[in-house]
Amino acid sequence: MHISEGVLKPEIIIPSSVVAGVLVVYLLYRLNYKDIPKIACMSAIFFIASFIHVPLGPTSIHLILGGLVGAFLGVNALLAIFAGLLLQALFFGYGGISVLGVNLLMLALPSILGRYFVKLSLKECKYQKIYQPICWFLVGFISLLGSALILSGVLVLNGKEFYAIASVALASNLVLMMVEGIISLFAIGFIYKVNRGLLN
Amino acid sequence: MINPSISLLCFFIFSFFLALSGEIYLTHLLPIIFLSLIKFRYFFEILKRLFFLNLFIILVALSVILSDNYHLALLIFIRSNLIILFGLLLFHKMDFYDMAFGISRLGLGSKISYLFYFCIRFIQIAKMDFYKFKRTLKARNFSHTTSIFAYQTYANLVAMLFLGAFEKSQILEKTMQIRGFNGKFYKLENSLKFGFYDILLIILLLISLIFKQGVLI
Repeated sequence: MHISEGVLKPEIIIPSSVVAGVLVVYLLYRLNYKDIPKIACMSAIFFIASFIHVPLGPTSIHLILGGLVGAFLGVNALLAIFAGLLLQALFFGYGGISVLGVNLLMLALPSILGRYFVKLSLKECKYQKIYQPICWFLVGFISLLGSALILSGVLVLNGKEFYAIASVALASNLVLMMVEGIISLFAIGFIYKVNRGLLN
Repeated sequence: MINPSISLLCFFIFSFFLALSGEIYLTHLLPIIFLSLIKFRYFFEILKRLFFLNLFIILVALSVILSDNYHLALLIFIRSNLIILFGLLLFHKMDFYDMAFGISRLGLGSKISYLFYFCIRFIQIAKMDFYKFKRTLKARNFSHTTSIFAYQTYANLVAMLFLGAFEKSQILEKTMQIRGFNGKFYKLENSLKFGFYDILLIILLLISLIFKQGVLI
């Protein structure tokens, strides 16, 4: 889920780059050195996620794992995704430098919700066995739904010529949202059994 | 061949200028022609990569064509391809660690240098782990089908990658503390040189951006 170079208007590129730049600089300023290894390893997993192709009928789709990165890092997911997106742009040509701001806001902002759903799943209550898996599913599903909505919104804002591609982008990502939800449900379930402390 | 810091700066300038430009000029091709001559051996490999990256751009162009705005569709198609081709030519076959040094030499601060350096190190480790898990699945005759079992297996693989990464990051964090890390990033000063090709690329880039000659679109 990347917007390519040269597609967007300056009215979108400039403000999004400024907002994303300010956020990255602020987060780097308040970042503690001891947190960098954790952010770097999450960033590496976000980068590697594009290699993981999950079967879907006759074809396959690659994972994004933004929700899971957000679930472990919270707001710092923005830095991890920034590093991952920049390296993907430089080495693979996915996305790009001029659209890095848009892509960062699109993927990182909804991923922060992942942390909220993980925190919610750990709260003690009567129906925990039911809502816990739902929360874990939502970690992957909601973050991708948010990203797909932002992607479509950006394309719609880019002009009426982009309405068709905006609807195609939203529709094509619906399946990916389900798959990411299922993957995050099982993955967090696995981590919950093996090392529950990591989720706190 | 080209200094990574210079490559990054040039890519940043070229991308933004072209992405914000409403017209494409023949002079914009100058740095691309120069890089194509330098990377002549890999040119077809790079073109093949560019072809696969065109999927989204073609869909966007088709969407614009549907609203009868042929000029905008052509502009988007050419603009996107020029920027992507420039990036691919610059960074093709570039070493991951050279890129980390390139970023650190931009003087953006020790935290960002440190983040990218360890990100690249962890990418190599996670990549090895991922291929190891894939080989294990193959050895166990795992069938790559659309089923809950297959998704659960992939989810377990993802979870193991996360757990492994966490463990390695904790080891690194402790190692840093023991060694008294203070945020300073040391490197061999002469490991990356600033040469003739770098100067030529900067000059051609400036020419292409200042002298807007020969309107392509």
